[in-house]
Amino acid sequence: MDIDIDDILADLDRDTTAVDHTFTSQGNDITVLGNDEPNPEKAEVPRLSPVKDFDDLTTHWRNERMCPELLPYPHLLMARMLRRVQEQMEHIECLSMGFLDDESNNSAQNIANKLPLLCMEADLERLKFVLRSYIRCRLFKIDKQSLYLIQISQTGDLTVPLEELLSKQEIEYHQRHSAILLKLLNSAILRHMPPELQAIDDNDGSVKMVEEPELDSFVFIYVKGPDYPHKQDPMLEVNEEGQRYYPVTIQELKEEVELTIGGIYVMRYSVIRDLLKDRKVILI
Amino acid sequence: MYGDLANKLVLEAKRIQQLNQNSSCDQLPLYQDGLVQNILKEMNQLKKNAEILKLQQENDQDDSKITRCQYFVTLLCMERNKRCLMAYQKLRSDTLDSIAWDNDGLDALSAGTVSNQGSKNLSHFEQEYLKEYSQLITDMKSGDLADIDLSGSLTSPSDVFIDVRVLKDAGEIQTEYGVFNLIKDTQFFVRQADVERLIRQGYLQKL
Amino acid sequence: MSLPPNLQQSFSPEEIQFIVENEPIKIFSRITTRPSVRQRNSSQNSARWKLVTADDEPLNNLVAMQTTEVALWVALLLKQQGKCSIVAPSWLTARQLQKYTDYERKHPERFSDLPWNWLVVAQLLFIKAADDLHDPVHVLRGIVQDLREIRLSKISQGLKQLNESHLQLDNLSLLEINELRPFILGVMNKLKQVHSSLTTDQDDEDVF
Repeated sequence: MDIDIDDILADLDRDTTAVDHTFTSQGNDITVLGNDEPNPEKAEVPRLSPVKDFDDLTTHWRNERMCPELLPYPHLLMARMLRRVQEQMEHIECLSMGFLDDESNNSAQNIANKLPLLCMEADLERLKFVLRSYIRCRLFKIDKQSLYLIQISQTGDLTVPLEELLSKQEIEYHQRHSAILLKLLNSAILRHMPPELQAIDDNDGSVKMVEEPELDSFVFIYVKGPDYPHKQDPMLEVNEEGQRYYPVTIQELKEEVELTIGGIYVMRYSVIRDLLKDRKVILI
Repeated sequence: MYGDLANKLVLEAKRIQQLNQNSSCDQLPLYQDGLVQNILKEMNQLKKNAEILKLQQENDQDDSKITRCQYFVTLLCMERNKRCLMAYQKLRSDTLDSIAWDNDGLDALSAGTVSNQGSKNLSHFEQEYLKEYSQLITDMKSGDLADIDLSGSLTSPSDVFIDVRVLKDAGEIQTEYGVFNLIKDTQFFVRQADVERLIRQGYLQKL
Repeated sequence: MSLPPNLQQSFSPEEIQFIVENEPIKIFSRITTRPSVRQRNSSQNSARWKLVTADDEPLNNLVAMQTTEVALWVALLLKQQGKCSIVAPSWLTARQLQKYTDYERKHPERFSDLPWNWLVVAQLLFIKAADDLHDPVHVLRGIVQDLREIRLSKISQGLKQLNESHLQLDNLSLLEINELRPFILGVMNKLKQVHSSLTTDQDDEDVF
């Protein structure tokens, strides 16, 4: 990191009305600027800010936790987030070193000054927690669907390429973990079996061995509506009571349901999968 | 009866599950090597039976329904045995994964958290697996994800700074906020993240 | 497993609190952080607030005796340090809560439109900012408890209507939803299975 702390502080101090948001997204963050949203409408993409990013991350985290399938990894957002953690850790370290030097000067002043530091520590812990919980959740799902991921990447049945679905680290984790697990199962059990029963991914028996995500399982959703409320959303319809809703169909039951904006529903995941992808609903 | 042994193994797996449901840290009872070996032997016996039945079927002119049924049930038994063996081993490896995460990817066997007793409970292959998976966690924790402490607490932080009481002498710890000498029955105001491990290991108590 | 079993199907109550803590709340500041002109020009910098999860602008412009809006967790931290009082949300008064209770009693089929985070906010403020509330905390606690029980009993009434299609749960708070989640999902997924095995049976019969 080539940020000079004095520059940052000078920057912060230059004008109190313009404190903050811009500097992380200016300059040093330029390589990861950009949006993981599908079809971002250029003119309307709100300015990136740490707060907006954190909101997005929280939504990704909550969606991932409640979603039966693995959702695509938000590469750009995560790159910005990890960088921001690093910068903030360095920033905090600089500040706390300043306090140690100051110790003798004026202890009352010192305590007053510790408050922002305390708050920044808490703030950083919160960001780290969401990142950690998010990644651990994804690793859990990768493990659960390990064979399935191998299967679909071999047969080319992926809707999203593996490099987009997973991060670099996740791909490595998946490969290494499935290799050592297979080694264990082979040495302990499979190689002692009759040859026709030695496969790990046998789907022909009475029970399938490859666990697939259950796309029909129920999830709780909140209908958020379009990202940019003033923009026309062709998928929205208006009912007799003047409420705006997304019409969806439950295929198996041949049933139509109106998902009203602002509403909370329990619904089959497969029914709202596309709405989730378009960020019009969130899983809660 | 064929399949009885496998049933015993499944009951054992269920016991492991219940054991870990009721305790805060995961543990594994003794690997049932004898049982596993006997089931594997049964598999080979079943395989032989199946081959005999198949031959009979081919030689049998009147294509007896009984032989066909016997053959089919034998195959089902084999498949069932395989499923039980796999489920047992998978449950144990899942538990090993949890143990590895709880140990921050440190080598759980040599770090002493899986006690001597504990490591005796693991099969040779399981010991090797645990070692390799721990290494994988260690590698995941370095590199791009180094800053977020991937094996850290999954309980959301509510209070970043907390009061703790020392339950067991733990010596000195160095934090950004200075050095704390953790002597039994003293109290400190510390950053939760700095002492999380000590709390989990029972040295400190959150007040 | 890299995620403990209790976090695999649901959020923990702590996580629900965490989510709610990111929401804004009004505070009444007791300190001033907005730099004076002299400070702004001096090279001597006092530590400034720079946050990565919440808006730090209001924190750098606190003026004593003025209200501003910050994230709930920041408000609670400042409160703990005696640097602000929290402006209780308008629904968190005995009178207002009583109105919600009356509505809940009058409409056995509906839930009143309490904010989606009411329960968590109430519980947090009871513990950490009791002296900022307009009514004695034991009174408020009592009404909140009543409200919670009325709503819970409505929910259990409503469980009879669980089906294999879908469910609409407007006006339930996040904490309430999270508590219901394991049961509702368990039952609905089972009902769906039963239903689809029924229809497959029928299809099979049609074929023969």
